[in-house]
Amino acid sequence: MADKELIIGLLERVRRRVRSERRFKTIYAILSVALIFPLLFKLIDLISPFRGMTVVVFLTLWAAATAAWLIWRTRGQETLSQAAANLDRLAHLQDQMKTAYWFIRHPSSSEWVDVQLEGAIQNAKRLKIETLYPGSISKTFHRAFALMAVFVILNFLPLSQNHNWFYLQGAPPFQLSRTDQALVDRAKKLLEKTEAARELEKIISELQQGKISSDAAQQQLSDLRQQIDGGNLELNNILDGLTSMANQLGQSGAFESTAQAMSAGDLAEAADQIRSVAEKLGITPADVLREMQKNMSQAANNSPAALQDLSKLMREAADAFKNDDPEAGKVALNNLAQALEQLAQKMKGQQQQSQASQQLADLKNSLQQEAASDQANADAQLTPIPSQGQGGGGEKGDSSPNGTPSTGKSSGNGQGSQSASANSSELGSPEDLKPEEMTKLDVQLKMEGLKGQAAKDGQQQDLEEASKQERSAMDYRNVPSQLSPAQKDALNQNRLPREQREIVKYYFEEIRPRAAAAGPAK
Amino acid sequence: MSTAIEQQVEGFQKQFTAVKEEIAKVIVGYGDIIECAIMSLLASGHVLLEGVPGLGKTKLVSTLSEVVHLKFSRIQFTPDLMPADITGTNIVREGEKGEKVLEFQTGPIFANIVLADEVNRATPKTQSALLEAMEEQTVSVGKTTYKLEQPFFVLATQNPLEMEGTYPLPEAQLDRFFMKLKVDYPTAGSMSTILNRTTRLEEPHVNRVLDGPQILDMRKTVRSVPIARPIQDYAVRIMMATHPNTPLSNPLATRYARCGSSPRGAQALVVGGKIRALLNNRVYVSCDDIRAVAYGALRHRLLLNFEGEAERVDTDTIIKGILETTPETT
Repeated sequence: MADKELIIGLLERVRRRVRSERRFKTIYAILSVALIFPLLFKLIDLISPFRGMTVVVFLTLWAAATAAWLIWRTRGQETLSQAAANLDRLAHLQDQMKTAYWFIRHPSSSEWVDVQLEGAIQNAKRLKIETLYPGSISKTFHRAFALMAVFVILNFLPLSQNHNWFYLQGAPPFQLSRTDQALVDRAKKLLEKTEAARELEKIISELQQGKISSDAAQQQLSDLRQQIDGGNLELNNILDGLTSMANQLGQSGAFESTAQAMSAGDLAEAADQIRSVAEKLGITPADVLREMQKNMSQAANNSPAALQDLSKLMREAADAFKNDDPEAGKVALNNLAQALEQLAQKMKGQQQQSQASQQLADLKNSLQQEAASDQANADAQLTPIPSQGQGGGGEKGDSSPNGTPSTGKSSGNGQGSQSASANSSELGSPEDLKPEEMTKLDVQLKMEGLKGQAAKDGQQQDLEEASKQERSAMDYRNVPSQLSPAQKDALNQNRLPREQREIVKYYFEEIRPRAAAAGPAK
Repeated sequence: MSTAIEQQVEGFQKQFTAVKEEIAKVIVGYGDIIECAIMSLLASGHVLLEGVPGLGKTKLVSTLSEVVHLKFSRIQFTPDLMPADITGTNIVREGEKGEKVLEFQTGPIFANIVLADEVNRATPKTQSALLEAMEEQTVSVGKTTYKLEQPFFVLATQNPLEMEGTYPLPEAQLDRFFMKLKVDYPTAGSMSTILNRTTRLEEPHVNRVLDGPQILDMRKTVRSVPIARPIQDYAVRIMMATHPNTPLSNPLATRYARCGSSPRGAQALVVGGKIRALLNNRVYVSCDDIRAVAYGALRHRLLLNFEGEAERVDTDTIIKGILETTPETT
């Protein structure tokens, strides 16, 4: 009986081995199949990134299905008879163990059966389970491992659009286009180390994370623009005041070059010119000094509130000239030059903010375009939306202002989309307007802006002829405007100062279609 | 291993090998056929040898009869052969007192080894004269039943059915054969040896190495070999797979077979498996043993349907499909 127990014990060991081997093989086989799905999903993700929630849901479902499959396939266990058959097959025992196990379970008094069992016991003693079941690694393990390795590598690939699923990363709910991202980057660079830059970053971050909608982001960008543009009006006043001062100072021969530099917005040059005048004060004739004192006094009196510091220094210089005190005059002029340089620095900062504001305006318009349907986008590409000031994203970069708006020309370049924004705020958002209406406004803007513009050959250009097609080859941003920089800046404001409202009203009255009541112009 | 059984098995192998070697002195090649013929003798079965004329079928049987020390008779089956020509008949004889008495004149069936040469050249009526003798080992003539002497072993040869002047054996007749062995053309190498042996002055001489009692002892040894139920179930599954349109049937059998093997087929598988186990020095039957004898034991029990006949499907092909698809039971 003890010998029969030997066979049973052997079969028990075989059963454990077979079970564990079967389970491992099953697990590897299932994984080698199941891992194909996340791998394919990941490859698709690399081309068209999935949202984080999609990834989580997919991975959860996949893991659940794989686990269920594994449990289903690995459940149950082999019988001792199956273990005996397995052992017979591996050890080439010609069904000896299977027969022996059957005769152990069904005892027989036959001497032949005893002989059979005896032979089986001898073999059971001889057999080494470790040799028969060495626990080798199956091919499916290598396949599963390879798939897993590829999956890991794909997740850690340093690609811009790659998201690591091991950290449950997914594509942001809102993906900025390259053009949008470029606008954001440019705006951030311009607003470097300012509160507005952090605010912009927060808006973009929340938009990408899906915390705010595209509309909300557009609204916040508008608010941010207003915040940035808060100082623009002061800049306009300064520019106006400087122009006024330059006109006044220009009447004096000694300050002529200074006035020219101020008119050109080159305050550093103006400061140098003033220092040059200060150096020559000692040899300046008295009549020239009186003229200088007179013009400087008038310039100081006509300066706006934003230039109080300059006007104060001018008065001091004028008083020094009046008192025939060259030293005091020299000191005052040097102080004036220094103040001009400080003013130049301030204006430069504000100009950068103005450019950043322009970038934000473009970004907002771009977001509006992306929010529209594909068909609308296609239409928009065929017929440029005037309120946005440009056609596709590529044109946007070309026509957006790159220079500084400190001068009248560069300011004119930068007003296109802002004035268009003002129009759209007056007439409604671009999505609310029919393309024909928007195009008419575009045409009107061109007609208004290009009236009297000479062509290259000196002939008057028939702009209306081009506008009849409602498609102009010329970008309305390039239209030279009759408005002063201050007026243009005023048009860019969402909240118009009281004193500028008449100008804005006049502007829109001027660009109103002449035959509005009679129907659309052809 | 127990000494008695060990000796028994050893003796069995020796005797079997001796018979085989003696026959091999005359018959070149055909080792498997010789082995299966001896197996059939030891399994209390009968053998049907099929092959074209001139392949040495009759020679094989006559040599076997020479090797075993048993009474041998040969019946040449012809179309005009009558059943009485096989079994014998009552003849009128004058008694000692001058009276007329009927006396049974035994036919050639009354022998230990009967060679039914070209059995399919006789009519089915005559062929059927062998039925009782083969299964019950008796011969009934009139109201009297005569018991045949043991061991009784019929070796029939037949030409392929496509040949001229042949009558197919009835299914009942076929089923009574333990094995059907196909005799194919000898190989080129064997042919050279055949010519050497048969075209010279001296002919090979065989010795008688086995007698009747020894054969009966060997038959008992065969029946003593145990077989576990899983192995037996495997044989049953194979047999059942030959039946068309049953849960265990093989698709090939379903398509091409008209009817499958009778239980005699399973019996042949098991007994044949036991002999093979002994020959392999085992005292238990394995699935390999069952598979090894499956072709000989089943090929004549599978009857093809019209489609099978039309497509000239070989029953061996069906058996091969069955062996490949039938799982071993545990």
